[in-house]
Amino acid sequence: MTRVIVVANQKGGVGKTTLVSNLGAALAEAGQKVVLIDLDPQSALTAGFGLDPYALSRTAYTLLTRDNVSLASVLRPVGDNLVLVPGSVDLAAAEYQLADAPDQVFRLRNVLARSRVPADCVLIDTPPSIGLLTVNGLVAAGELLVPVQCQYLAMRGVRGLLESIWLIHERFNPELNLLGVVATMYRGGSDHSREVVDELQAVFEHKLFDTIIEDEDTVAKAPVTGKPVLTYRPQSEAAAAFRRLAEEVLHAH
Amino acid sequence: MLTNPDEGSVKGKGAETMLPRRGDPFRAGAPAGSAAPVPPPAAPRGVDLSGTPDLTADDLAKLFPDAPSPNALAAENAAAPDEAFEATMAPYATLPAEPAAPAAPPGAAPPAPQGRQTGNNMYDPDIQWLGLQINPDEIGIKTTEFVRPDAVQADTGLVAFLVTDERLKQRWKEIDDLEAVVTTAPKISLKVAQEMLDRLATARNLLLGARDQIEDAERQIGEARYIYERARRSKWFEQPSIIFGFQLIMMLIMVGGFIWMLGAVDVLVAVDGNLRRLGPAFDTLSVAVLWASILWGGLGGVTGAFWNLWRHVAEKKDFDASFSVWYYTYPLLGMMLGAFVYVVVLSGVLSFLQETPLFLFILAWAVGFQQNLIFKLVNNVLKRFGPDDAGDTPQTAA
Repeated sequence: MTRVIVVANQKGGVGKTTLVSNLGAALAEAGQKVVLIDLDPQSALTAGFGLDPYALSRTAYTLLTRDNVSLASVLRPVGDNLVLVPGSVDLAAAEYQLADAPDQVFRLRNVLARSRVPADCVLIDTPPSIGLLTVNGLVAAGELLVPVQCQYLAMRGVRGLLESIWLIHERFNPELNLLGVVATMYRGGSDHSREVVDELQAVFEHKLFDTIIEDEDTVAKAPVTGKPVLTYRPQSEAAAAFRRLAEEVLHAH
Repeated sequence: MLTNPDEGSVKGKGAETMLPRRGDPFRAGAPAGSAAPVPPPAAPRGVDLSGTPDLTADDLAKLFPDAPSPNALAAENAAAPDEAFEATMAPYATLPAEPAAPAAPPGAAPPAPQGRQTGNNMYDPDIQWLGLQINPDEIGIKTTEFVRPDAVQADTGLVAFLVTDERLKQRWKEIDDLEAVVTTAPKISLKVAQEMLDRLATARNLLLGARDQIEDAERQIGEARYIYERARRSKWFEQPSIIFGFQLIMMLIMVGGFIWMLGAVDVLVAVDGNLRRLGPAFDTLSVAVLWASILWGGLGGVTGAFWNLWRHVAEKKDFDASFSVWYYTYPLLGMMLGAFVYVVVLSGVLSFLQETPLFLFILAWAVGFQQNLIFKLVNNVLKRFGPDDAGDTPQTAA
């Protein structure tokens, strides 16, 4: 059974894309067959794997706006056991194009339902807003993974997301479960970071992953090379953290 | 200057900051006591916002007296569409075009159709009658011919991802299963079984050759399965023994018809007399000869059906149950063609046969036996009167 995990947080810059690319790479390294889907018009995930979002003919936009396009036809291999549905700037227009479509929030879900791609896990990266693209991801997924930057404003983004989940549960996808919350961009020695983690622990209890992603230069530099951290610096502490997180995700199933 | 040590701290604010007013959506409906207590979101310390109404348009107007009213802005927007926005969105109004398929090199011959050779070769595939294909291979649902594009270089990453070991093993097992049923299925002729085994052997070779050949292997497996399923689902009346029985009955009916004719000469003469009273056009018509022609045509059809049944079951061993209708209709078509031959003879085209009915009967039997002869004849005659095929169709005219 393919796990479909959507990574979302209403606030930007909390590490959604970094989490998707590196968690995907870590899961693939663990032997899982992983499909990454970039629903963000900024296409940082796509660019982070060295692809030019402006030069791709088939992307997530194609998948959402055209009927009868198969998932397999838009895949790009980006590593062993790891493939990507690239994003493109056209996704910004998808919201307008799908405005009158009766199945506008079910487009991605339908694509995944009829897909025969033998994936163990699908990871969906969403834009930092609760628009049609993010809702498509939330409706298509079975599990929600929420990265929270260890800062107060990022905590506020969680509330906006959870407000939307009420609507998603009521109208579109009652099966969506919370896979967990990941504290990201943790700054060692910062009282504020530690307090945020404590608050996440208090609110989400066992749903907060033990692994904390620290704010490291290695993570920021990896996309420049077109590789995830696990390939760019496989022995780094950041790579080890993502491997531990992947283990937790696998056991959280 | 003294500062509050708690200022800037998020301690104790987690729930109010992160949880919606309705609570955690992932804990809704959970059994009591299973979820952590969720305190209601509190207002920032020192400020009581409970019950504070939203600002109205009038409040905004007082706060920002120079700003245009929201209603005026709405009216303005309604009157003048945002041209800048529409210009920005215009490129997205149409979908990007798909890359064009690679064109075939000029002068290249179209690929030969890969249709399966069926066991019935009596009909010439080129024969057309009144514009209809009468080749049994061509009867049925018409589909546009699918030309497979040239294979593209497979991406090794995608092949590794999509063509899993599990998938390869599944296909291999499918081949094993199909081979097992081919060798034991009672309804499959030797030729069909051989073809299936050839296809399955080809599929095995493709699987053993390279991972990216799985699509061709799956095609071969699919075709072998289709052939098997068609044979497996054939009905009882599509079996050779039943068809043989039907032909036997038809032959007995023909013989019975001859015997009846010999004992009913008076009836036939009386019918001839009645027909002649209709007018001079019926002067030359002999109902007895017409009847005999029909029977000889039917006998020719029965003979043709017997002969083909023997050929495909015993000689070529490629009997195909899907052609059972052909066997059932062949004697009936023979009877009709026997009557048709007599009408042709009466028309004067073959007038010399009027004096020698024996040759007429031989001809009736022959067209019943080899029906495509008469179809060819009719087709050639109609071609002389019909529109010229070349240059008359919309495609060529355009």
